[in-house]
Amino acid sequence: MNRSRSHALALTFAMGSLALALPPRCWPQENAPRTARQQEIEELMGKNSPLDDDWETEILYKHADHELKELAGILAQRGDGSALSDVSRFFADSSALAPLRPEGGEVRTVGKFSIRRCGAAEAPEEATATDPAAVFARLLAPFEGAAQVSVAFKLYRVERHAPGRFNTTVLYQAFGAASERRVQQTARWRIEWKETDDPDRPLIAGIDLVHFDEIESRGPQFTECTGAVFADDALFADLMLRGGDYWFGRSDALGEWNYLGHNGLAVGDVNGDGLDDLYVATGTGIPNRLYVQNPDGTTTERALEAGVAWLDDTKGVLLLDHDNDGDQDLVCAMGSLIVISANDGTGTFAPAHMLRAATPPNFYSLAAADYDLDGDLDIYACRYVKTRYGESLPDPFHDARNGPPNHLLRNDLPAGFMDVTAEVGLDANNDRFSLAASWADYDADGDPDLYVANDFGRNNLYRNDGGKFVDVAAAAQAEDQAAGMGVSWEDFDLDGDFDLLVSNMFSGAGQRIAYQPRFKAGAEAERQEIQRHSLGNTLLRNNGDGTFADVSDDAGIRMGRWAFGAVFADFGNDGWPDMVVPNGFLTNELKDDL
Amino acid sequence: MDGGNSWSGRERNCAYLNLGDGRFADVSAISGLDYLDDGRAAALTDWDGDGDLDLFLRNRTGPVLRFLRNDEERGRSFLSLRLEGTQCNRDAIGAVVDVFAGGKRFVRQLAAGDGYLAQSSKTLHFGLGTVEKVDRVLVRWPGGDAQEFSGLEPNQRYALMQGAPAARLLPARSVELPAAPVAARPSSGSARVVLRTPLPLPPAAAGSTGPKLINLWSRTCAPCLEELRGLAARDQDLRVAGLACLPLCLDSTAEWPESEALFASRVAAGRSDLSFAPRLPCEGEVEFLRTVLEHVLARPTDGLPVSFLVDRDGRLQIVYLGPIAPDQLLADAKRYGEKPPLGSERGAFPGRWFSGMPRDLRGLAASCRARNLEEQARFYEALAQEGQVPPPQRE
Repeated sequence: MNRSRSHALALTFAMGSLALALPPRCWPQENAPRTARQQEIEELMGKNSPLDDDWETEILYKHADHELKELAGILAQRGDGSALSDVSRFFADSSALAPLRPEGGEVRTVGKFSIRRCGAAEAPEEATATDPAAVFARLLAPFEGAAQVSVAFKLYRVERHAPGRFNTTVLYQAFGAASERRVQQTARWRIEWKETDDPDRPLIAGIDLVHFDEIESRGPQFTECTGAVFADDALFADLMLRGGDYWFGRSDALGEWNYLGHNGLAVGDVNGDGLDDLYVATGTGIPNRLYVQNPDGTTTERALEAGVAWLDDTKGVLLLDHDNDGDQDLVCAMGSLIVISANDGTGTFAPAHMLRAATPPNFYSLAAADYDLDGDLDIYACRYVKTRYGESLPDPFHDARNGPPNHLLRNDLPAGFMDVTAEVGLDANNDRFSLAASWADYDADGDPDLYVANDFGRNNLYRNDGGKFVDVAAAAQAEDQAAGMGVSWEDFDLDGDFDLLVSNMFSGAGQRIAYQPRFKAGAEAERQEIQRHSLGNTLLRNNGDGTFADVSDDAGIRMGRWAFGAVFADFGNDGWPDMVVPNGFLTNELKDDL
Repeated sequence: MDGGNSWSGRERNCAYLNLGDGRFADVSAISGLDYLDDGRAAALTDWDGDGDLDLFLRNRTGPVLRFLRNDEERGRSFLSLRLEGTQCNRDAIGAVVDVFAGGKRFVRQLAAGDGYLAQSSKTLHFGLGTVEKVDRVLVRWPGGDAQEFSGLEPNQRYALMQGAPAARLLPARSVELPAAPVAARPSSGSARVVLRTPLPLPPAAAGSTGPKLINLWSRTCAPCLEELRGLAARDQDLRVAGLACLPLCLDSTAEWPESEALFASRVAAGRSDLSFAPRLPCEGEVEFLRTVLEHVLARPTDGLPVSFLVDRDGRLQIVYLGPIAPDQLLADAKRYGEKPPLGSERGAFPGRWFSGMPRDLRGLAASCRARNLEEQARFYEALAQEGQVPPPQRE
């Protein structure tokens, strides 16, 4: 196993083989000569899948995963005992099963949820059982009467500990609803597998319970009313019920491709009637939408009349009062332009400023604050790739410094906006793959500080020292070196200072491979950095002394899948910020190849 | 057209409930938030005014937009605050608000942009759980002093103005939005692609003067035949519109000209005096049209039928994938055939382009040359040289 080979695997799981995910022929012909390094990365990214390689654990994973999928299918049918008697075929004789639904534990009521939690420590000692059908019947008892039960497993650690035996760490999730009563179980199990004469069909030799949550509620927290809110928009079905994959082959290739769906949204009151409205950014050739709220909560779509039905690909958008005249203006990141359209006070806009980056890369997320405290709003704009998404290769992928610069645009109205990135010190560490940024006064000194989430490496925490910035991420222990995609600030522990939620990628494959002893053997530092890359979302607790502590494991929030815009959101309405995690990278007709 | 592998696709969105002791519980499924969408962004607002935070979700996959009403139990209190700066920026972005209630201190800041590509409401929402009384509210205005407001009641909305002596009560409003889930619209094989910038075609491809529709079809393609029948049925309208139809049959010469398909199309139309007659493509003609298709579409298709609407000056305006609806074609012929819009007003949907975007004619020339389409390659090279591209709109 040579060095480049192991690098290949890291790239494969972390980055995603975009070249495979997209039809190969749509990638432009390579005219420019590639460096050997580029060729290596491209080849490694695109052509290797762990299963093609000689990672034995990935073979074990594949077999164990296959068994668990079958088991999940049987458990989901639940119902009568005859179906459950069937589960014994997945188990070795005299397998040792912990009680998967232990008694006792800690019971909490938060909002409409009643949570019963048993950690490994809290779970009372109970005799291990050997009858799988009985153990699973007891596990699934709360779903009695549910019309439909979903059961899923996610397998994210595999290790061989003895000849013919291997262990896996598995996330178990089950959900069912019987009229208003809803039940969700979330558990972590350590499963020991025993290999058999048939290498494709290992048997479960034992299950240990690591963690168990059983949650009940009456009715869901969220009810979808999309159809009611947007009923007025005659083009809603054409434009909003179709995704980036649809438009990719059905629009002019000039400009940004619509495939990846990096288009945002902004809430704000555009007509000053006291009700929030919604602006939705869309891809190339699809008009951005302005949904103005009616008193009854429905909307009227009026982007065209309002002068903001832009057809250009639009990523980050903000509604804010850039000229302090009492109405909400619109800021759009369209390619390498930032366009500010002034509101005339009635919700009708006209372009007022166009800010063009000196170099072509597209802008992504925008975040505004008055960094110099002169009474008007300045705009920080992130940039991600030098060319197109998926074409600019991060190098090295876990600490890439070959991204395009971000910009801080100072509001000098009436003169206009001035790029002051270098002048204020934001040109330091400004060469990463930045997807998102957000401002907050984390050190409570009265001026807004800036956190920037970077894919493929370390994030920035720019402390604002009277209008000049210093990147203190390393000293503050807030680098969170991983696949940063989103930033949210809230005081999640009610201690009076702002904590950080950073969206990252949770990859079962990444964790399975990066934790193998032979992965990056001999390069421990790099190994650990790559291990971090696929661990999932990060919660950084503000210690109140200028530093942060990564409390993600204690909080139990890492598993957010391929997370983009995770945000704190107190949906439980008790003042303790909860979290909402939009996730999922590319869904296409074919299932994942990993 | 929608094939291809997924990559971390079909992942369910997650929700975590703060248990108030440093730990969270996964409530993804039970909360009803666990959509399979490729989620990108979330924006928060108490849209319906019932005192809890609702959600807009922005996705890559259809539906690309969802509204989720928060159904928090009644009886939990909240406080809703709208700030207005007078010394600081008028939106009061950067203001930090402490609400002291029930022995706790709840802190929020007013941000413009967080999560990913998202901005939530500027109305600060404080969930207060079972708290029945608000002790005081402290606003730290950006760049300014802290200001205390008192006498605020839970379950109310207030406007807090910098320097004003007291909070101003805003009218209550709560509306009932009905449940109305939506689903992705199924894909169809057809599409109408209006070129963002028209593409001049070489004279040989553009053919005679006047707007025209070049159509690629095959006798083995049922939708092609149906399309031709549909066009034949509207022959008179097409004549009036001045639109010439040039169907190019992709089948082998041996089956030409007594093609069953040709015959079928005429018979189906019930007549043999059509203004358009299918013909065989010239050498390189189809190759060239395929090259154009690859240039125009990010993900070109081999599917049939495919058609090209060319304006009277020989510029490609619209590509149709799949069968064309004759009414759409007639409308397009009217709008794009004679004096097509050149600038910001073009598009399959009503809207405006902010930026012009020149075509990469050198790239197209190179693609032509790679397929031995020498004449076409020279045409585009010359065009690129002359800069005979419609000028960008604003740039």
